[in-house]
Amino acid sequence: MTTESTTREGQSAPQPSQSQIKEVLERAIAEPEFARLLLDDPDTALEGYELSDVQLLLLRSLDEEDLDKLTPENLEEYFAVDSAVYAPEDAALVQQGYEMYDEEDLEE
Amino acid sequence: MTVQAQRAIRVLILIAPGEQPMFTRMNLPPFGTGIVTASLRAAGYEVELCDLNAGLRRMWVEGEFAKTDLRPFYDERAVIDYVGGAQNEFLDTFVGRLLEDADIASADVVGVSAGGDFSFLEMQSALVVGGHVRRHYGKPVVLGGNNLDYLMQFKDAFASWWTAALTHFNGAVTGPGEDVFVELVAALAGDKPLLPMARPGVARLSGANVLRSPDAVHRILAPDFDGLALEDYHNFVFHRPQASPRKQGVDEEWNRMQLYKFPTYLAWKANDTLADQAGKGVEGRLVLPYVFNYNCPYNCAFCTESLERLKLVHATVDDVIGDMVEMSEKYQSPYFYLFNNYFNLVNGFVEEFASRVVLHGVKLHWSDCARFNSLTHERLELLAASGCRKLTFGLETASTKMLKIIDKRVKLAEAERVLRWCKELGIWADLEIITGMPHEDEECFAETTEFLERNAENINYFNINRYFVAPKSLMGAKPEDYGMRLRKTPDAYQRLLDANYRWLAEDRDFSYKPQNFRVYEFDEIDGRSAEQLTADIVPKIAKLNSLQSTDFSDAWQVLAMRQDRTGRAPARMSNETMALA
Repeated sequence: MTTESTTREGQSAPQPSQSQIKEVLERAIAEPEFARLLLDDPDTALEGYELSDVQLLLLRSLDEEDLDKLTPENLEEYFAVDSAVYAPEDAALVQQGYEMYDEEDLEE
Repeated sequence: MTVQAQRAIRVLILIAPGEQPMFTRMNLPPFGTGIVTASLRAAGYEVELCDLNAGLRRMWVEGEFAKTDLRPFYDERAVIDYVGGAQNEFLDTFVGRLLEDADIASADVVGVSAGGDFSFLEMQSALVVGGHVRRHYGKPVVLGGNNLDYLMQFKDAFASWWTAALTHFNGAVTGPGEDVFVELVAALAGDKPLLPMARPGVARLSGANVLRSPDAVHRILAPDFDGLALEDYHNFVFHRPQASPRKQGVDEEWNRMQLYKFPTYLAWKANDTLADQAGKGVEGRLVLPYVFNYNCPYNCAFCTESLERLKLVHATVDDVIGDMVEMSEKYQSPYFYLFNNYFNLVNGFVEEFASRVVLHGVKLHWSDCARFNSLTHERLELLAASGCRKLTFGLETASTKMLKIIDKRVKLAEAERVLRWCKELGIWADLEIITGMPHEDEECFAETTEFLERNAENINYFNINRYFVAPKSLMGAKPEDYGMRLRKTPDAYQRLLDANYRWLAEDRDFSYKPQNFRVYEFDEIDGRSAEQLTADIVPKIAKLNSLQSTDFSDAWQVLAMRQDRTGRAPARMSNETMALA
């Protein structure tokens, strides 16, 4: 499920931008020398990218084993789903703890 | 109080299991049980602690049962009948397996904690565990745990639960248990009959009526976890003393992020991921829960502490630092989660606490709740120096109209200033947001989302809570004053059990846990019906979730990559807005 939720006014909810992390990892898969630099000197490797503190830390924390197992296919799977948006159908499921009853039900 | 008997009286405390172990590792030792244990041991009793969540986790990991096998626990009648003496082979055998390692036979009194996670498995299994102990061992059983406060607030909905508990067990403690439990044990172990008298903190039956006694008074104690298998609660963090200084620096940053910056669902994911690497540059550490103040002086109308003003209970700075240092040394961990009403509750405490921590060179990392008012830049600087990593502020709403209605006493300009200072000083600032309050219109909601957007850079994460009616709050006690007409549902107990079972049976992730607080619904007086309110809330929640930082989805994906597990990240909507008295 992606971010196709809509507001009451029918406007699309904001769409998170394509993850910069994914871009970096795609490059690490395609360019072994970049992958090496990312492990040895991540600050230099990541110059030119606009990354948040968290994104920087996530990338700095990677080790050789993490990068070795990456392929274009599995990277696509890991990053296939935007997760931060809670879509309406999800909310409905969480609310199912309660079912509406009319006043008449209470009187039965 | 000192026990004079030749043989120390032995108390076995069993913690009833909830659903969490079927979803993730446990990551916090049980605070309430630790407090009661500390009090009992100080009074001279011998205490054995047994957390049945650990047993359930092991059974789950070893594939001994499927989630759907647990159906009888979610059957109101089956559980109540079992406690009353009916045969139920599944319940009896399952709990018997969980209790295999507990020495029940040599206990004089057995305490059963029904937990505090608003989990129906906890509440139901507490009855079954107590019933099993009574049936097979004939021992006196006393129930406790924070969930009893929840069950008591909605006692009309859970009357059958209470009637079974109060008919077949020897006591049920609501509210603080540190002194009440000791008194009950003394009476039960002394073989004295417990007269049906009103005791503070002890629920009772009067005919068919369930009665709540006034709560006992809290006492500040350091929890005692000795006897628990502490590795069951480890948070796995990086520890690579042989690595380069750069790598060690990254590790330290990661550990702080995992333990304090990440919202709970992500911290769990990180913990599960790193647990797989234990021993390979990763080690388990405890995060220690601690509380040093109780009873809020404010009266926020939605909160369970708004209806009755209780006297403030607050430890001295010396006692707080003494407890934290002792716990840190004993359990070899600098990491704390504080669960106070709010840290800056008493004038002068921030300065005294922080300056002493800094002067004595105490190394701590901690998080807590806080209020915006009275937090100056200087005070926040002191807090950061004393190890404060995260503060959670109850903003609830940024609508000036709603803030006034709920009597929140927050100034938005002040809130924005404090959020900015937190960012400058490296303290992560989380917010609590409530949506769905009566008469929260589009304009009110827009004020909140605009606030969140305007301050996005300075907000780490915000917990999204859907409003529910808490009977022990001003809004719950006087709903008409707040423009609400309550609707109570028939069979709410079994309906909630069914919803919780469906959540398990459909194998959904933890974030889909039903909203167990929403026992009552409401119509707005001269406004929307409960059905309309339910329909209106859905896009609001979606909108709020869309405003969360995308850093957390990035982190989820990197962790999924490390675990080599694809799949959707959990949708987040927490629902635990009730203050935990």
